[in-house]
Amino acid sequence: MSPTPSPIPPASHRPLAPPRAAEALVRRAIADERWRDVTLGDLGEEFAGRVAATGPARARAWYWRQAGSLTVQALVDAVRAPFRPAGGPLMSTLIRETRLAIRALRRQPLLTALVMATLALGLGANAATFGMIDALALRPFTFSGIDRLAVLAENSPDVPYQQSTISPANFLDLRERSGGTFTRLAAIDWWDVNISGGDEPELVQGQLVSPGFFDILGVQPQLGRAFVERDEVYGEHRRVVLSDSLWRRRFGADPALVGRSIRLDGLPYDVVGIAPAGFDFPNGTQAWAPLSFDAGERANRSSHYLTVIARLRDGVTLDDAQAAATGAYAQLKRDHPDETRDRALVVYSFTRGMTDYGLPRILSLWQAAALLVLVIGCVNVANLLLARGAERQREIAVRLAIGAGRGQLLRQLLIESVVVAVVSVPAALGVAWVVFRMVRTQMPAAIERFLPGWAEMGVDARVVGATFVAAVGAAFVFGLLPALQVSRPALTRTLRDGGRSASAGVGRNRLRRALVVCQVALVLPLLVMSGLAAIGAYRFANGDQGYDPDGVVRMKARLPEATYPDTAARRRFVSRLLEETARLGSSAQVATTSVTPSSQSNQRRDLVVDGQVVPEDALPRVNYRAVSGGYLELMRIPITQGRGIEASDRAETAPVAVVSASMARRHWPDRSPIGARIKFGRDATDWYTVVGVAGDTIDDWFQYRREPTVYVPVLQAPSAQVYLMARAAGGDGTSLLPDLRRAVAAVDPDQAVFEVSTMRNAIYERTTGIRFIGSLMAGFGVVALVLAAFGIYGVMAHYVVQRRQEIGVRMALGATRGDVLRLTLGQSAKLAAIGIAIGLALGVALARVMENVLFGVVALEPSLFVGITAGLTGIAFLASLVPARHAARTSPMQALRD
Amino acid sequence: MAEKPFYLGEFEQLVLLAILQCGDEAYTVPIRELLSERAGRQVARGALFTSLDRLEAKGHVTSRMGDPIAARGGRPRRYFTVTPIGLEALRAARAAVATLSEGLESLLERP
Repeated sequence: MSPTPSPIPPASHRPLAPPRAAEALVRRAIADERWRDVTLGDLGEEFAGRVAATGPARARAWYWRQAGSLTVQALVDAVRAPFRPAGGPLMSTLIRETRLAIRALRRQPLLTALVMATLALGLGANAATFGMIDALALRPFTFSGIDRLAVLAENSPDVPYQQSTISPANFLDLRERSGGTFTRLAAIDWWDVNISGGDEPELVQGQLVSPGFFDILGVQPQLGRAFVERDEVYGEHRRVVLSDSLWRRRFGADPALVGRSIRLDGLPYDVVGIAPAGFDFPNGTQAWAPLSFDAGERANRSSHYLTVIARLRDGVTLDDAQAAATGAYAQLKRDHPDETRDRALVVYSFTRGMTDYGLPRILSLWQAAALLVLVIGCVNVANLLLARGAERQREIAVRLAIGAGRGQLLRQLLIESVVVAVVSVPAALGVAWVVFRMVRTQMPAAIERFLPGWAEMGVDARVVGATFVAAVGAAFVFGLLPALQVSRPALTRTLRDGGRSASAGVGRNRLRRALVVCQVALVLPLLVMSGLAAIGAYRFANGDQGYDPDGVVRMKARLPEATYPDTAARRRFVSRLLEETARLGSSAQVATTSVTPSSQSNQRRDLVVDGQVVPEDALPRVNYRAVSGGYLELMRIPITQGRGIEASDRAETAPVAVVSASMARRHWPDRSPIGARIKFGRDATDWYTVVGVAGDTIDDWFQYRREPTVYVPVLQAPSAQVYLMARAAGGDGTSLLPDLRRAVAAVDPDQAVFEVSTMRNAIYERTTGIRFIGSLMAGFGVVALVLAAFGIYGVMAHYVVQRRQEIGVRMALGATRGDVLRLTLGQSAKLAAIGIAIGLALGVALARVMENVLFGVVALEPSLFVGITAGLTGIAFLASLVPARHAARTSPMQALRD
Repeated sequence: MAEKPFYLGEFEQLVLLAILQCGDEAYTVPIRELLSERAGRQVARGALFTSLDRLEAKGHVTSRMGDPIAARGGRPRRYFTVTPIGLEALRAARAAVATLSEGLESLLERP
């Protein structure tokens, strides 16, 4: 009998399994999962053999050595991999590291989600603003060969840029003389026109254009023809090209319409063509007619009202064109010094010339705000990564210890940042999509058409591309600092201290605190921006307008020249309209005016004050309104001196005028204007005697706030544009509208009315832009504030965790909970205070920039700064309260034992 | 295949030979033991795995997973078989050595 015991214990109950921790190490070391189980199996098998041969202790030691060498080998491989030539070195390395990064991110889903959400907001805000800038400012027009198109302007130096500045005679001269520079020139003039016949009369947006207009833009009518030279001969000019949408909507897309005649402003116009679908340049135009000058207009050099577009000859640059234009204008200046004084001919690129002057500035303001949000978000992400860096400190120390270069670690950490930024892009584009949707629904159609490119705005390839670029850029912003900090080779300390010491993290903590200061300092200016825009928007819409808009309604009629050729006819219309409305017998007040505040148009006149001498061609301009008796009272514009315009101011009585307070100040600074005589234009013959002074009004928040304004009786100076106004005794006045419409129809059934709305609504539409800016900026502000609060919380929470032992010692030595609370809150208060101090300086600077950008719409408001400072302090306090209370609850025994 | 089909590195030849030597029991543990005992090569596990992966990628060997084994903690073994391509490569390598060795017997063979 041989009592040889079996060297291998029965497998069923495995009394001696390999050390679990070592097995875990092996599991981690083998990246390839096909080999992981095999290796563990091999090691297990060999371990069992060794237990039998050498005993369990040695076997375990052997197992540990195996695990150690596998781990080292894995790390060495990971570090050396980039330098192995096999298999496309750089790309495969990047792909491999990207995989590693994705794995690293998936290991910390909560952190990754937070980072992605933050980035999605920041990048989304930027994607949306970039999309708007791209669509509205960079390439709002999609004409072929847009880079060959130019816009000409006769600018005067005191006006930054205005579109419609060329006089008819100058246009004709320039067109004749610039053949070497431009293939063609075309002038454009506004032409609102009543279409009658068939359905209800309606007013459509039209333009009068020179024959070259369609050619220059490279547009061919889908039916019929464009304009030819003889169409601009005066008398031959009653021809029209209709837009596709008008043709479909009003004429049922009847192809036989071309060649037929339709009635515009009561006159027959031959339809010669239908524009291609989608073409509505400029500003949503529905009908184009030839721009034709009668003899007087052909010689007119002093009225600057034409927009001129041109196509450059091949090989001619904008600079060449500018040089040629300057030369041509020099000739005009010699021949006609008076009419061209203080003006210069400027050639703009088409996009620059045809987009709103203020728009790029407002858009850049948004972009700046969006970038701030992104940077604040980046700071947050950097903070999160620093916190994670602390957890990875040992991994990184090991990698450094076995010879990984710092550059390599930096690259790996940056790749992780880029990966998380790039995977946030789809969410960011989602955010942008939502913003675009909100933006679209907010914008009234009446304003939309003045924003070329609006329809094209959305998440397109360029927005996607820009967002990817921004994501990679952001990754470097938020990834570099933590990566530099984390990869700093402070090895021995980390390895020795085993993470218990706080000292290894001194630099990192300093950085994190600096980041919080940074964040507060950045949030403050952003909040200032948002606050100013929001206050501006609120004030515009709801603040004092100089009149009382509540309960007032309006509707506009434009009297066509054909039906109302002279002042007598227009006077008849107004008189009869007032009679008709009086017959309604309601308790409402009714009046007319040629221009209401917050309308699309304005009337301005050159002012001549009797007895005041001004240089030739330098007449001051004033806003001009022809109003019926009782208009000022209806609007509740206060009369501060003398009297208002009254019903007794009729054609046959002496001409009178009421001036606004600002006009009185400007023209009669040291006396009362009552009794002064004024006329409109040097050649005018009628003198008006000033009989009263009225309060200032806000006609347009951007251009005409408390602008010098003169009111004259409409019966003495009948206008072609008539707003019928009514104030209801109660309610918003909309119940009056049907009666008012009936009154207009009773006077002239062919007369179209439009701009039918309450004054409140008119103000709302007129302030859409600023309200829009305000709400968008407020959105940015809220996002930034949330991010900042989050950042402060994160840093304070980390601070408390790190100083647990210190706090424990303090408490053991007798510090009370109050002391600890004060210590922690004091720390965050210090950070917030530094941040606020820096932020205030930035905020004031920014507010000054905004004052300029928004044309003085916003003003530096001390109360806003006080409010924001208080708010931020409060948020900093709240964000650090939770960690502080946590710290105060620290049990000294527990803290010291850990 | 981008690489020369029959070229084998010296270590690869040894691995292939070890697999052939092990016959039906050609899994990682005895392969490594053979390399260590008979060829004097102390091979790191990782290096062996990389080499096996490469040979498999080139079609010189195939592998299959065995059944779970309790002594291995319920984990399977991975068995390797030399393919005809692998065998051909081995023959070619051997032939090259033999051709180049002709006439050098006195130098190369131990007395």
